[in-house]
Amino acid sequence: MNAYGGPADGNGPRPAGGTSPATPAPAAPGVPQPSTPNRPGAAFVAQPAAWQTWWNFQQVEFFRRAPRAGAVTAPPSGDSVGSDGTALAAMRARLLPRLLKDAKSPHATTREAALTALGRFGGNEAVAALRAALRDENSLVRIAAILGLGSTGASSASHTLLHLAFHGNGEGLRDGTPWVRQLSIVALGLGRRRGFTATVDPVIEALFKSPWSSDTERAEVRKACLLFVALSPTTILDAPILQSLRDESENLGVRTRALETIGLARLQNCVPDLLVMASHPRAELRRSAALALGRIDDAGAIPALVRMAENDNDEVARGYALASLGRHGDKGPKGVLEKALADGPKRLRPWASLGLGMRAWFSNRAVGSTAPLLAALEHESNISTRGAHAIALGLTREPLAANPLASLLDGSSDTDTRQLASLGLALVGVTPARERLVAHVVEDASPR
Amino acid sequence: MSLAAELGLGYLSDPKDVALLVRELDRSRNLFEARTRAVGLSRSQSPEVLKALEAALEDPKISRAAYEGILIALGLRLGGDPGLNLTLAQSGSNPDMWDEWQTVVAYSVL
Repeated sequence: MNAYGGPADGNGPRPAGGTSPATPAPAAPGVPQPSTPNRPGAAFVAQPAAWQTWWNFQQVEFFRRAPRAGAVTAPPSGDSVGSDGTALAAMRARLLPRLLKDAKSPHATTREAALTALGRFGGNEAVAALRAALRDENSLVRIAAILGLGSTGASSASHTLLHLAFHGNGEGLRDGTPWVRQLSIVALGLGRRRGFTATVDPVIEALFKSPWSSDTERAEVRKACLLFVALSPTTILDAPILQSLRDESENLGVRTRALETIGLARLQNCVPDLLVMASHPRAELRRSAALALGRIDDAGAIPALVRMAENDNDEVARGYALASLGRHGDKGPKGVLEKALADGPKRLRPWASLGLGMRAWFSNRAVGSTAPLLAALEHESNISTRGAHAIALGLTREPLAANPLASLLDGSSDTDTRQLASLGLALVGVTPARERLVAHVVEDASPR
Repeated sequence: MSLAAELGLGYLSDPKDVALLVRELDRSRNLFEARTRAVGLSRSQSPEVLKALEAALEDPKISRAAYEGILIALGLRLGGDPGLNLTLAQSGSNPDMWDEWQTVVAYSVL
């Protein structure tokens, strides 16, 4: 394994990048990046606060939506790639030959990028090139090919992926490719979103139930199957998911993943068990239950979250509960969040702040949220927590937040705080915010 | 810091910022920076972005990192977002349970 968690096969690590050298490159677009835990033998890296890790993984969701009406530019009409379908189709046709050529580039990173793009919009025409790349000498390129086959949504690609998921090899795949089954199962989930038929689903069920050769392999396959369900919700795994949840001897990672999948895929049949898990003795399971309860529209969800937010003995579980209360928008009790922000333990304030910001975001109105957040920002002495307030203010999308955020951006010497202030400004999205962001891009454009 | 500002500017989708963002993309020192900037650009709903990215691909002076970032951005804009990053977001709950293969998946689809 290399520094970022990828396979160590001589391909070398990806550039350690981003704006903070203490953290690995991100899985998600945006900054700062999520951090992986310190492992024995690994160089020590500073761990971010739990709320920062949470935000790093969540932020893509908020930057996927269009800015609200009245922002710098109006929200787009039509689909996510624009409304001029003819022009886009023409562009795809123009780019396809280039991508097919780049898929044979002497540079592995170029091949990887081309195959990823081919998977996204190449459809049937990309399948042959993606299959050929299964023989590539570079494992990251082969991984891009497996996932790209799923992204095509082409039925011919599903046969290859089903074979790889079952057998872990074959289809021309070069030996030494890591995590073949898991990657193929995730790729099948991508494909189900893009055109694979429901005939794939029973295969996933069979893979989940298979005994496999070791507990480790079984757990990894099960986690991949749960990611499949999160990508492409189906009730076909309801029974085995419940069985895993109730089995105290089941791998803990599988159980936490199962809980979170219940939330992401909104598996209503599993909600009663989810509520029970909110008071499980293991903190890891309560944390995952808290996250899932934020996404479940059930009468028991909010009371369970309030209990956790106020009484759980695990700080992270309490934090997740506060954030998940915010995800319920207007239905969630604002008073619990405001009390935690004003009077709660210091380490919970970032979570209360983010909960209030999310409450405004998901109810699509900032009424009553901005004032306590502005006050919290003004009086906050902890540099890290200021960043949480900045994000929360951004989530309110309240124009009044633009000036305080711009002041934080201009006045802070802490890189992380400045990054979070930038992201908060972008979420607010009014003209002064854009002007500040442009100014900072230009300021930072000094020769490197 | 400007990576965050550029992500924000891409999201704000003002056509006036496209040239600036493409220029910054070409200043990327490595593929990670280029990809992060490219993803920011891909968030822009401005039609100018697609024209600018396609034109940049034809620029013989553009860096390889930027070129690869543009391929990623065009894949996102022309093919749509699979939502995988959102799915992987769940792993933020228990970072000590983050599996290596999931990290690679997340990188690979960016």
